[in-house]
Amino acid sequence: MSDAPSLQARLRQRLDHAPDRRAIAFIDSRGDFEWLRFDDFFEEAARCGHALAEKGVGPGDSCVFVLSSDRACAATVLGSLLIGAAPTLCAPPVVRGLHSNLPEVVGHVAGKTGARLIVLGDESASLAPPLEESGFSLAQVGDLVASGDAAAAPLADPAADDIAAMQLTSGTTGLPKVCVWKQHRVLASLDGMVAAMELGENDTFVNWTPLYHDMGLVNNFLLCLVHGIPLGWLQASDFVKRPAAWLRAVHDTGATTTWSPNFGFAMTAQRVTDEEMEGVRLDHVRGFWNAAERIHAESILQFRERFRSFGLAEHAVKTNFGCAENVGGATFSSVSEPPVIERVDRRVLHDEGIARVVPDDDGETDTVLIVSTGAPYPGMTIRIVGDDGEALPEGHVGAVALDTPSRMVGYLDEPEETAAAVRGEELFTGDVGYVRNGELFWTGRVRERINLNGKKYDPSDFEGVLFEVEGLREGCFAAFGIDDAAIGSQRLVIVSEVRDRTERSHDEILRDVRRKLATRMNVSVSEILLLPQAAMSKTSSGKRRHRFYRELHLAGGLEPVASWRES
Amino acid sequence: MQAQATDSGSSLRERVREFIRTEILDSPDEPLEDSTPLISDGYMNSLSTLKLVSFLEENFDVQLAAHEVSVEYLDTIDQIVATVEEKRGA
Repeated sequence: MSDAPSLQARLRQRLDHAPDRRAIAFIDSRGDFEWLRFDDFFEEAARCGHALAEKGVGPGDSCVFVLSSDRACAATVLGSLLIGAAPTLCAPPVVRGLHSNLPEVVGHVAGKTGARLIVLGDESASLAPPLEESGFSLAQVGDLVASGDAAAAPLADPAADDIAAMQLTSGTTGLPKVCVWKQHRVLASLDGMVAAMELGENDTFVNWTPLYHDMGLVNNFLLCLVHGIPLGWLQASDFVKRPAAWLRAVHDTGATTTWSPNFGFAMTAQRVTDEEMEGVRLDHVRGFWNAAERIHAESILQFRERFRSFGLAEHAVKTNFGCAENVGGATFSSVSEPPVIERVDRRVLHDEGIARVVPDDDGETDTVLIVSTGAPYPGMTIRIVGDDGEALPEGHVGAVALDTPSRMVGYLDEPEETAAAVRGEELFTGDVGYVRNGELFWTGRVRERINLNGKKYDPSDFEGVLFEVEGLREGCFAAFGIDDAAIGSQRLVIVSEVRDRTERSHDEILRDVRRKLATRMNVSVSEILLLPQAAMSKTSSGKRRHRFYRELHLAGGLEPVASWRES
Repeated sequence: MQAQATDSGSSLRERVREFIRTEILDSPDEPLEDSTPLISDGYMNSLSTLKLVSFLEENFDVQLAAHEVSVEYLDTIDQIVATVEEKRGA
């Protein structure tokens, strides 16, 4: 690997080495695309970089982007990197008129990172008035793309210890935390992933995950540009509308490698028809990488079975564990073998924290399938840590600690959260799992987190919205996710106390909870249970409350006065 | 022509309602008013809204612009039908 100290230096090396190599292709909704060469895409990005500089953005400045992950977004984000700015990407609204707390989220992120500029597009234009009113400088992405001069772009040369970028991750207050990434840590992540996945110049990627997700930004965009791997880029909305577009793009570009959260595997296996697959072959694919949320064995098996007749090799569906705190992927399943799936005794796992393998489904033991996420990339080690801080033996469940070259500096202005995550050289990811034969088996989170279609939520994220529902008792609620193998993700359940004295009917309250979660957070709740006043006050507060009610609900132990369930 | 447009509108409405019941709500028996707010009442999230858009584009030969993937155009069955009919020039 190169010893260049920064992303920018590595990108320039790539450009000098093979300017005419295929860099990126933006695949439109009809599946059409043209490859852009490195020199052409870099010139486009440099134009954007110059336009950003003209707006006052300089080396080390934070620049916030609220854009759909299209060509203009990719070029301006790369342009911001070329001039040494630190990009931070926020998700734009998918359905306009929803997610009405987005101005608050973007204002929070821009304020916290000290953003010099916020870049908006048509899809996020409605954010402009409140952000302007708060005193932020704004730019329209269309103006940036149209106005710059590549030759005049002030290309930066950052040091290894400079900040490269910042990434949002779910917080505990309804607002995101900001992971800070340094240059040498980002490069360690990219090089570690390339080594673990055994990638080379003959590889090609296809990606549909958004640029504001670290899977889109790091595992695809930066990895491919820095390592000279051609990248086919689909819009996430095109994938969701027609999952077959993903597989067709893999076929048409000759892609060897592609990523998706688990729900994407489930959705694709269930929705793609044979007619849509006409002419599509997957024989050449080395890796369909499943990552970013709980991996269901059922989703892997269903995907393999569904596309076997189209040439999908059994070992081609792979698994990964990673997180924004580690910049990108941490552990990777074998390049040549299918991921290991263990059938373990559910009771022993739950009660004793030990993953006891049950060789065959004997029909008596209650078992659960756990998928290995593989071994850490070269240079990283994993420790599983017990409550006493000591390392646990193989097969014992504890906190996941990574001694990793690619860890974040910390969460911006969150000293307590940072101290809990970064302890010496080790990164405590907040996950729990066990190790066997050097591979990590992920079993859950230290602090309950809810994963809805690849997006992570802390239970407390819902508190602000529930607080606004008249008739509910403030703070007396639990929010948790229930795994649903059918959709390959989780379903959201809300349990809350309802006031004895309220003029609203329970039906009205239930409808209001659904409406507010949908419009304020763009979240669909699957089940709401209203408990009588004071029913929850005896239980512990904080993180244990959510887990307690989740278990009680699964055991059928809740007696609501009213409830609503998605049919 | 008037009768033809009404038949076409009725068929469109039925097919949209059927799609929402079976593919989004997963409940063929769910009573569904044409004025029920689907997005803003939390029946549809961004993923299911995009599924609906895909259904409309594939079955009714229309293309929705990005700004039309919104509560303003797709929140109720009435709005969905009106959006599609306007695009088809019905």
